[in-house]
Amino acid sequence: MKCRVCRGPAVIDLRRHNANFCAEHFVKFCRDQTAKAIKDHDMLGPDDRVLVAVSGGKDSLAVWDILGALGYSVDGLYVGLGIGEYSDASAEAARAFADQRGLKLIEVDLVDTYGYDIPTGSKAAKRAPCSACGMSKRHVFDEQARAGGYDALVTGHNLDDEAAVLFGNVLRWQTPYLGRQRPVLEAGDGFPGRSSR
Amino acid sequence: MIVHLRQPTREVSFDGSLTVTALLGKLDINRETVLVIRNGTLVPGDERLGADDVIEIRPVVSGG
Repeated sequence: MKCRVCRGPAVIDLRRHNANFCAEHFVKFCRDQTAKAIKDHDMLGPDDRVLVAVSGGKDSLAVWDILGALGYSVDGLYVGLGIGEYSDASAEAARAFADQRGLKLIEVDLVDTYGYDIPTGSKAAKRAPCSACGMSKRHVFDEQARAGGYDALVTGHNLDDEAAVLFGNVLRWQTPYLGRQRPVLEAGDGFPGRSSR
Repeated sequence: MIVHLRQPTREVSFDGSLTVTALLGKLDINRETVLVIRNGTLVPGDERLGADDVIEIRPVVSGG
């Protein structure tokens, strides 16, 4: 297989786009796709100060990298959830990523800041861990974005996971969740500038 | 070839050479849900993998 752009050896084939790319042009393709989505959905202004919520995983670190490459002023926010080795490894990945690129990473640890971790918080609130985790993270995202004077908060997701969430919410007829699964959530009371995903 | 898989973590081996597409077919894995890596480098579907290659198949969908 050859790269669609330069005809050099391809490293990835994207059936959805009926295209193959070498490493260099695959990265460029991802950046171009992101820039197009930002424009199409009016996600960010060129001078916005952006805060990216990062888990230490590939989706959020990729969007942080891409936004930086596109010229945005963008810092990272990592929330320590206190979920054992998973949280330790995630934090290390986020720190290493920021250090390698000279980026600013804000870290908030739930135990140190609020006195609970997700396993104990979910039991205390009698909520599923995923629910306690989501609510906790959202609160910290909003608080940090407001405190730092950021214009937008960004989260990164891959399309397959978004599709799975959409499918689940349709099957369970979760209209409030369906209503907020959009590329951009506008600012509201207690909510920073805007939230883009 | 030795193939390392995740979710769950396991290792399988195959004799002889195979294309990436054929390997994924044998493992019953959807091509669009994984990256295939040989010696630290991504490889596309038509790439022929050698008998001595060490391959990693990494899921790109968390499912969460």
